[in-house]
Amino acid sequence: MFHVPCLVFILLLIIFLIFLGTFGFLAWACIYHLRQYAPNGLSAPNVVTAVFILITAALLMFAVYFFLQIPR
Amino acid sequence: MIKLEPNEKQILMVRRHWFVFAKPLVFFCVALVLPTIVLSAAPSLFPAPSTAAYDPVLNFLLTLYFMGLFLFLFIFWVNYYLDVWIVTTQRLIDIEQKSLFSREIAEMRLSRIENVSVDVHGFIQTMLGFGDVKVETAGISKFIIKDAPRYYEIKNALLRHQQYDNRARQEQQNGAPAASEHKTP
Repeated sequence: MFHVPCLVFILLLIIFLIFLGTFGFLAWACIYHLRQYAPNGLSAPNVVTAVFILITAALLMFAVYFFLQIPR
Repeated sequence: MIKLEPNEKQILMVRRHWFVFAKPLVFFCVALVLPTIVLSAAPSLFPAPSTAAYDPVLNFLLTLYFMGLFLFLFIFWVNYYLDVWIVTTQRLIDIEQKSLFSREIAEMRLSRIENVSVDVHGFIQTMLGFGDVKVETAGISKFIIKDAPRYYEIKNALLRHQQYDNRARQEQQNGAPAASEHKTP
């Protein structure tokens, strides 16, 4: 039988996977829209996209680190 | 992006005033500090034996929360940035990014413009200098450039180029060579 920490881990794994799927899709959609429709020659979309990717990557690393700390 | 016709030049590109972005930014900042306040107040509100084993769970959920917040801000910025009005020498193009998956593009020939009015209401709009520019045509259609900064410049540009466009069309109809290239001040 599963014990409580294991159940919590599985539940959080499911939440994490669903979150990552949704997050990735929406972030990709934003970047796609900016690349497709933003006026040419302006640097703002590139700068904002780069900042967003950097912050997201840092937070994602933290998320994975904390996730691996969860008792199984 | 929009393809311009030959002999057509872009005069202005207008986005909403930055103040429109202030509301979600305030919400973002409040949401950013909210967990700190809640977590510092929680032990006194709900005195329970703390289990250090579940600290990583809390940290993990907090990280997801912050990721969600940044995504929310990014989505709002994309919607704000892609919501533009373009004034060319011949047309007024309204590109409305309603949401991430809802985009509407409408255009109006400057020669059809009947009336352009500016609507500035409220303390903030007056002090920060932005307002709605309403463009009416001979038909029923009406364009509203919402929360536009530099509204007088937009209004003047529309009216000035409407006259140029009208004159060029009349010359074309009369068989005279079209005044295709008019100088943009």
